[in-house]
Amino acid sequence: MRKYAYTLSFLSFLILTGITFGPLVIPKNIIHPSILGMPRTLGAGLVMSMLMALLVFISAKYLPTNSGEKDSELK
Amino acid sequence: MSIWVVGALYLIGLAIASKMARDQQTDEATSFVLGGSNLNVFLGVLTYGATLFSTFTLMGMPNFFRVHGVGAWIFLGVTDVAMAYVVLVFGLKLRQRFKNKGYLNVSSFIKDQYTAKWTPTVYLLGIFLFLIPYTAVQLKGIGEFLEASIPGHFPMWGWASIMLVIILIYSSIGGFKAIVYSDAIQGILLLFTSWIIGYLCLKEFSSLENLFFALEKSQPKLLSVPGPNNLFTFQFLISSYLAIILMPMSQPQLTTRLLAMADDKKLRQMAASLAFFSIIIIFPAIFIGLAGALKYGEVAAPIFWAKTLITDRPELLGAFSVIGLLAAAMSTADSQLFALGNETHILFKNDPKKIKTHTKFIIAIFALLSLLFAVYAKGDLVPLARLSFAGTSLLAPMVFLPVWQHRKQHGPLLPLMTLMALLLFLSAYILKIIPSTVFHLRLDLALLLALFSVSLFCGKFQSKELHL
Repeated sequence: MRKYAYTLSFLSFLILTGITFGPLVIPKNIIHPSILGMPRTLGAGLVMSMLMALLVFISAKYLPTNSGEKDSELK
Repeated sequence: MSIWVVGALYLIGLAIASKMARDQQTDEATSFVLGGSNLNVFLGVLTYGATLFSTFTLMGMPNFFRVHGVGAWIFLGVTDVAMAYVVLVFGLKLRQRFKNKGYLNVSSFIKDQYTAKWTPTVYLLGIFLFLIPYTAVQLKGIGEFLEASIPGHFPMWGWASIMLVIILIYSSIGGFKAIVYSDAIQGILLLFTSWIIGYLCLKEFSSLENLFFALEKSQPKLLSVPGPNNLFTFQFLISSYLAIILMPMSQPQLTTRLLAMADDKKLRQMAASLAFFSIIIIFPAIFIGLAGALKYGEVAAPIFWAKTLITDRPELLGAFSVIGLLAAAMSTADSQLFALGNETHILFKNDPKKIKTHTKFIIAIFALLSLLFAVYAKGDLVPLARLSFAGTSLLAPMVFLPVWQHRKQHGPLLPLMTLMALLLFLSAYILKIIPSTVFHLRLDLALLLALFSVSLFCGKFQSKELHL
């Protein structure tokens, strides 16, 4: 379950990255439609950033530890 | 008047930080160079953030929005959140690799993981080449800014020397932990100052709609990519994205902070918090920069900074801006100098008892070198610093390979290719004696992709099993 949740969030992260660098977020010389009251690239970029941050949060929760090893303590 | 009061408060804060750090120190080497590896999430986020963002948050980013437009958010806002993902995944792997052997720096780790004994030299060459000029540019930039903002006191080199002396004092007293505490002070100061200035900039236009409406009428190119100067092209954005997200692997001052977290759970929480912190700290730059485009669109960057951050603001806020920038420059410079000092242990016979003395000595040498660079180097310095993150990203595959395949010892192919890539990068972007594109692809992007391909090839086919 833990690994499945992590894989899903990792794949979602890759897809979001792909969308961010595609025409939906960075179309050339296009300002409208505005998103969150901002020009398209800025508004969509902000939405992407927030979704990515959410995925980092989910991945941090579910990323499995290496082959069942305990968390490392560098002391 | 306010500036001296805020400056004195900042110095008192640094003195308290050094005292606290010294009180927590033990005789162990990790205590001085990694702060005992016991950072909590709050300190972890602030020290990583302060080391990463520096003066660029209050000066560079707003100016990017002012001159190149909204694509600046993709350039840095999106990439810094993505970097938090690399902090998480790479950081956990890195800690697993480091914990068994008790490595204190990246150069010792790669020395053990490659057959070629000269591999750490390539790594050290890469970081010296780009980090010393970067530190020097910070000192020079803030020195000149302070010379202009507080006239009649010190010249640029005087301010730069004062900053270095303060850094040397508190890093010698409290080691890495003192730097972490000073980063925390700076991070809070930077966040507080940039949000207030961002709010005041937006308030001048009453609302978000008014700001964007005015921009669309007068400078519409700022509201889309690639921007008025054609900077934010697809290739520029993607190569910057790759170079920036690799910084936890390629920049030792950031790698060290992943090792300094108390445990893996704290690292996970730190990575998640860093993602949100990045958005929060960069967000006000949008308003500072775009409002600046309307008010000060035609002026040079130093005039824009002086007006937006100081003269247009109430005296106390202007004082916080100046000291905030000073603190930001110092927190980046101290982390880089300390990381350079820590990485260079490998050049000495590793006597754990002498690590503390060596680090202090090497930091003092690098501080002096940075000051000399800041004072005497002319135009050549700026391109090296500007290209710092792209240049050091070429070192990332060499660090990535042994973290990914740690049970194998790797041959000389990747270090050799990395050395060649560094030379090609310098020839194209600094010396400008070869083209900076290959078949319509940016050279930095092509080199990075080539090095990662080589590292994957080496990991699969070129490495010998290590008998651990």
